[in-house]
Amino acid sequence: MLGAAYVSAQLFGHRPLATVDSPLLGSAGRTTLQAACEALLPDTADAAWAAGAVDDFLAQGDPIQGEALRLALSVLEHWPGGLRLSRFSRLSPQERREVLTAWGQSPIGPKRQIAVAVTKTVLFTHYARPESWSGIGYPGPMVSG
Amino acid sequence: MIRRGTDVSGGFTLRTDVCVIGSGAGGGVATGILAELGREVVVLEEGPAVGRADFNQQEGDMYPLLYRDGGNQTTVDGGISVVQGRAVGGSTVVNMADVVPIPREIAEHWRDHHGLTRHSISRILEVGESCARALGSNAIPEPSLNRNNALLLEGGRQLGLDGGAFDHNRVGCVGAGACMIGCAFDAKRSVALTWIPDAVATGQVLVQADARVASLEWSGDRVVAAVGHVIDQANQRPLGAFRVEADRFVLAAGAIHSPLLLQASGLGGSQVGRNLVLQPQAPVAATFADPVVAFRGVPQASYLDSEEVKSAQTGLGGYRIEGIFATPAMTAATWGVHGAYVHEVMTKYAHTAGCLCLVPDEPAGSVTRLDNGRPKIETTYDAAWTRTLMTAIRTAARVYLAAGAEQVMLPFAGATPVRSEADLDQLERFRVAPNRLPLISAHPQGTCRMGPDPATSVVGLDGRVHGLANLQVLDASVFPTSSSSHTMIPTMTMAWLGAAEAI
Repeated sequence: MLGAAYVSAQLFGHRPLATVDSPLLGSAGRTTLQAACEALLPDTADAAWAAGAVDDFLAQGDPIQGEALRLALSVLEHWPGGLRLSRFSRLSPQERREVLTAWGQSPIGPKRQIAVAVTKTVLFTHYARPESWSGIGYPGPMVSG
Repeated sequence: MIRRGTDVSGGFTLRTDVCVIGSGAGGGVATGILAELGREVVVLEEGPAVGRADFNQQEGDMYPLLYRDGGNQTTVDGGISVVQGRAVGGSTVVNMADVVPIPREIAEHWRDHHGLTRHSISRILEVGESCARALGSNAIPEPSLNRNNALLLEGGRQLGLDGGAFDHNRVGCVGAGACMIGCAFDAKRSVALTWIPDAVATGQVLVQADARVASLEWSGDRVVAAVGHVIDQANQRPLGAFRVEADRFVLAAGAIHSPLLLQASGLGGSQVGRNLVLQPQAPVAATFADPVVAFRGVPQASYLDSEEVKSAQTGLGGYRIEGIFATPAMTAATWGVHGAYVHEVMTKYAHTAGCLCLVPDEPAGSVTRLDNGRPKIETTYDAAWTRTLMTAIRTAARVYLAAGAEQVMLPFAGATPVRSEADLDQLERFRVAPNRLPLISAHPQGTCRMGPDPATSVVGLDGRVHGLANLQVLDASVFPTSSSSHTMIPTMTMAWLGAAEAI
């Protein structure tokens, strides 16, 4: 299995991401999510942390929501099309960005739905983190009136 | 008293005069009126009992705590975010505190076209005023508007558009700007700070938080009990079972979950869940050379309403544009259709102004219960509505250009920055469809329509479900059409009138 992943990575581009297990998304879902974080977040951001934070967020909600995101990530990971020969997580971050952009403007409704759901989740998590605020000029919550 | 789920995690059984399901604008007011009338009331609220000490203004903590699905509830196609509060006090804890009663023309429309003749127009308006007064409603002085809201009015006036500043139910606002994730300063006079504590003070009211009602048990023409589970807010999983028996039941779980509960219980007939109105809103933003600092001050404080139509003949129509802003995570997520480009937008966060284009829709959507118990929310994007929305977006962009914006950001995926009116020609190549632009509904209404005819409505003119002697629906579900541009006071008005009925 590892050998196949290595060969695939050599043939089709980016190295596979490290596998991290997730109670709601599973290891495959978590890998795709982290790949999306790498694609969508600034280079300075910690994609692994962001993926973990999404997990934590999901854990506080209805498990059905986690299942919906897991399914969306699975489709994003495996959907073939165009010149794309590799799984999503094995593309370079730039290629992943292009895939998400193309899906976000696709005439196929479910593709747009998946791209927007994943993107919104990742962006929310990133900008909820105080470390992101200095870059946008937000001083943080007002702590006293 | 207010009791938490952790106090009764093994479950409980109660018997009372009135059981109210939901504690927001509808349930909170109904509880207050019923307590005034001397009734013993048990309120069942699915969300947590929280207050200023819990409101840490961190979005990652507050959205899961205070919103349905952590703020991720959407229509089935994902195209419209349907945001609803979920706490003691309901959406009044997280709303923008806009006080907009049912307009006279809409009350006349309901009377003339939907048979709502039980209360005079003057009585409806009078109760609306009383509801507003009970929340400490006051006008936002125009000189106190933050720059975001002032720019909207300034640009609008350049174009000859009328507008103004909202009335709101904040008292002593410090301008923290985090209204959507709970006011840490208790300035927003939500139901949780007004009607609920006043009702509890009578000694006749028990508010049970963390209590999710699964169904209503009934026999003949009477509901006999509300049954469900105490839930663990940390993961939404059920704990102990509960059962509350009562002489009278008031369903006030909102326009998505009230019909869901009726459907789960086999009550209400074929009209339950139909006629959903979402009032979807689309954002437009603009960056300015000087800081706007829209994240401080009253976030939603001004509006342009020249094109809003309030008609006794046709109801609420046209569009209005309202200044608004959000904390960083929600702002970025809202613009998610733009993908990684959002970061470029966010680098100008402190220089950005924002508004929402609100376009009332026809009651053509629906809510149905899925096998897993969750709501399937559907709506249509009819041609007239999408045309009006495009016009509103174009107008909002022109307003910002007139106010001196460096560039305007259109909501559509793939749109390029607008720096002149000529750049607005690109709107011709976009169309409104799910997930092509962000659409937000904060005002779901209409799924248990009120009316005299059981063939076309769910509840009668006193709020009772047709065919049932002791079950009322008293929330935004009962509106036959869009009630107003903001639903808090209209919901309270209907709850007040319905709770006062001798049942």
